[in-house]
Amino acid sequence: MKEIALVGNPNCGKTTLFNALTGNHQRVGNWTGVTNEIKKGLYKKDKQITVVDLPGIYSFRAGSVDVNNAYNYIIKSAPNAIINVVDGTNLSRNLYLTLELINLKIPTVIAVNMCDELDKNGIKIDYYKLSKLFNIPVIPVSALKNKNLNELIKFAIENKNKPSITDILYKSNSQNLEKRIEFVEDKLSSIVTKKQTRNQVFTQKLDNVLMNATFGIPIFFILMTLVYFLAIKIGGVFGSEITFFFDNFTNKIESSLYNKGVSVWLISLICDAILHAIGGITSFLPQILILFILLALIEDSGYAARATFLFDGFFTKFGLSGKSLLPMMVSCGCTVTGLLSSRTIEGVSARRMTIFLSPFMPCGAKSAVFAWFSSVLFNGNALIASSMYFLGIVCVGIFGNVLKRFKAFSDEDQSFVLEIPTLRLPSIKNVFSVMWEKVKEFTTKAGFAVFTVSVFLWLLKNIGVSGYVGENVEKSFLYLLGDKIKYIFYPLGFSSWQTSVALLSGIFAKEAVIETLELVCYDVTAIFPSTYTAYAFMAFILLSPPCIAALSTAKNELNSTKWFLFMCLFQFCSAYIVALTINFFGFMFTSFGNLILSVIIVIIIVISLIYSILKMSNGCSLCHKKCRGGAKCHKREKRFTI
Amino acid sequence: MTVMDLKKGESGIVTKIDVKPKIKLRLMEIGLLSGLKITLVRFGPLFSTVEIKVGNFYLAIRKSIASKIVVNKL
Repeated sequence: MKEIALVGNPNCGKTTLFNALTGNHQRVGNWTGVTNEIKKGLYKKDKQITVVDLPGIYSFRAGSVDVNNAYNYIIKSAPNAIINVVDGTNLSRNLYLTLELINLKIPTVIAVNMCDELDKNGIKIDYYKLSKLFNIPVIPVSALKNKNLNELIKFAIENKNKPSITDILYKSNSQNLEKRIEFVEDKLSSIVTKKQTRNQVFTQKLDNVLMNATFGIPIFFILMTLVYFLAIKIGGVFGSEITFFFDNFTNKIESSLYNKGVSVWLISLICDAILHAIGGITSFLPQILILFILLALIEDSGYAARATFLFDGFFTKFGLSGKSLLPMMVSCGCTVTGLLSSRTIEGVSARRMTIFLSPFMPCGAKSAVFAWFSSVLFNGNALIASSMYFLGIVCVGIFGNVLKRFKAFSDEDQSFVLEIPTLRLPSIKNVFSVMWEKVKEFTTKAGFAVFTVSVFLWLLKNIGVSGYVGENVEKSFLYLLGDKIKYIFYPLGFSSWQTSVALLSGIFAKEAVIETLELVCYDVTAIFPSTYTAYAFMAFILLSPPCIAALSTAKNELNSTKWFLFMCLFQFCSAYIVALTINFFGFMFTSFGNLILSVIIVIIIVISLIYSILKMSNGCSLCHKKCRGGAKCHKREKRFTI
Repeated sequence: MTVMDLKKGESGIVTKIDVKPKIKLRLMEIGLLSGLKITLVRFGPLFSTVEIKVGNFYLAIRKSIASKIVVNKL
């Protein structure tokens, strides 16, 4: 058994190469840091060879989690060979890592990836000279077009050469990386020749619009609105078709079982719990599917990096980083994947904050709940469901601002550097492989959770102290449980045992909220005293701690029980506060019926928000002077510590 | 003169990077070194970020770092 590790810079195509070598469908994107775990696969033409895909790194020196993962792997498991994947279009920068590989003393082969794009980019590389420079084989490959891959593996297996700098002129101070870089930079001028091409000129022209300081952000919002609109509209059409089909199917099964004389409780278990759960999941699968396809298109084209550039200035004001944008966008599909993509954020405090705040975005499951609510309780008013996205974004801003006052969240990430890749047309192959992975992940993880929760809830609902209770829900264990915890939610306006139980089941999976409400009450409108309490309930679902799958991911990513518990508390409190506020204002407005008063209050809130943001941009958020909240701020020591 | 003092489209040679060693190393890793020619491509919203061209690739850095990279205007 031989092990070959793929090592290289972020976004140089290691994962594409890994997929081409092993036939796997890992996720790839035109954006740095897509791979965040170490993945292994067997070479598809020789199962004796294991290929290992490491996260992209610029250097082995300390930095983000990814670097440590990659370094520890190489040191501990000492692979038989390393394939150093370098991006031919950015050769000089990619070779710094090669310089560090010299110290590892492991046989190495350089794979110059994207060799088919070199011509397009107007670059010519002298492979022979490059090979001489480090005294190891250099193979031009194209992972996307399956070019030279067999040769690459053959060379990697047979090669015994370790990288070294052979030039006799280069003797002095060979351990000094800076010296080496200067040396390589000098040598490269004879190895690489380049001229600007039409594609780069085109990218620059398009970037003048997409990254424009004034129009860039409106363009982003128009684009994202379009993305979510398409996902929800088209997905919704397919979704309702699926629901219709499943309802008919369930009815047929129910009547045929009844005719065969199957006992009532078994029919109820099969139809109300199991079939209903499956139908519920599949009905919002199309929506998630379309959303992930569109997000994959955005990532693969290179637009995601441009959006990061645009939003960094605003996000840093809330203690986040521009790189928090992608985790938040992905969280609109699934919080678990969103949390995983927060790993590219270098600053500890910005990363922690992203993990705290990403679950505020309405994920696929939550938006299914909101869609259901707006169709059942708000006469299908689409504004209600989409206002949840807005509420999520506003809460990220407000609570980000609150968290920033804590010392642990206030360090500015100094080392923020972002590469802006050349725009390219997304590859259909990539987009579909991403989609397939997502669907698999979603159906297994979410599907299993919803399934178990439905069966578990059915049992709780139908079994009481006296055994099977059937229609008498008020004798079941579920009633007893909900009846105890409903008092916590009394100030929020939704204090029936049904809503409490629904919220409890939401911890397992958010879409289970619908399942539970349909299971435990005959008329949903009856349990909410008014529409604003229903809205407060939706806000509570949006902001309260995410499902169990996302919680366990968050705990892993935070890597600390203390921070994890603090996160749960923080999310519960924010949900409680927001729901309380909505309930309070709803009560005020409906009781006094004063439209002018309500408009004035809303305007005051909006103005004070804008004012506080502007205030922050002018100076320090603590002392409102021009110290910018740095180490010199005289109020800095007054920050809360936890 | 620092990167922040350049105008859109102007170039300069980096003479000094006046940041903490850890950040300097990180900039070095991704290819931003003294002696290289950089071009200011554009400023981001609120002048909080700048996009620069180094060699054949484009990088976005924050104002806090850009204002500490000393350049000789070409």
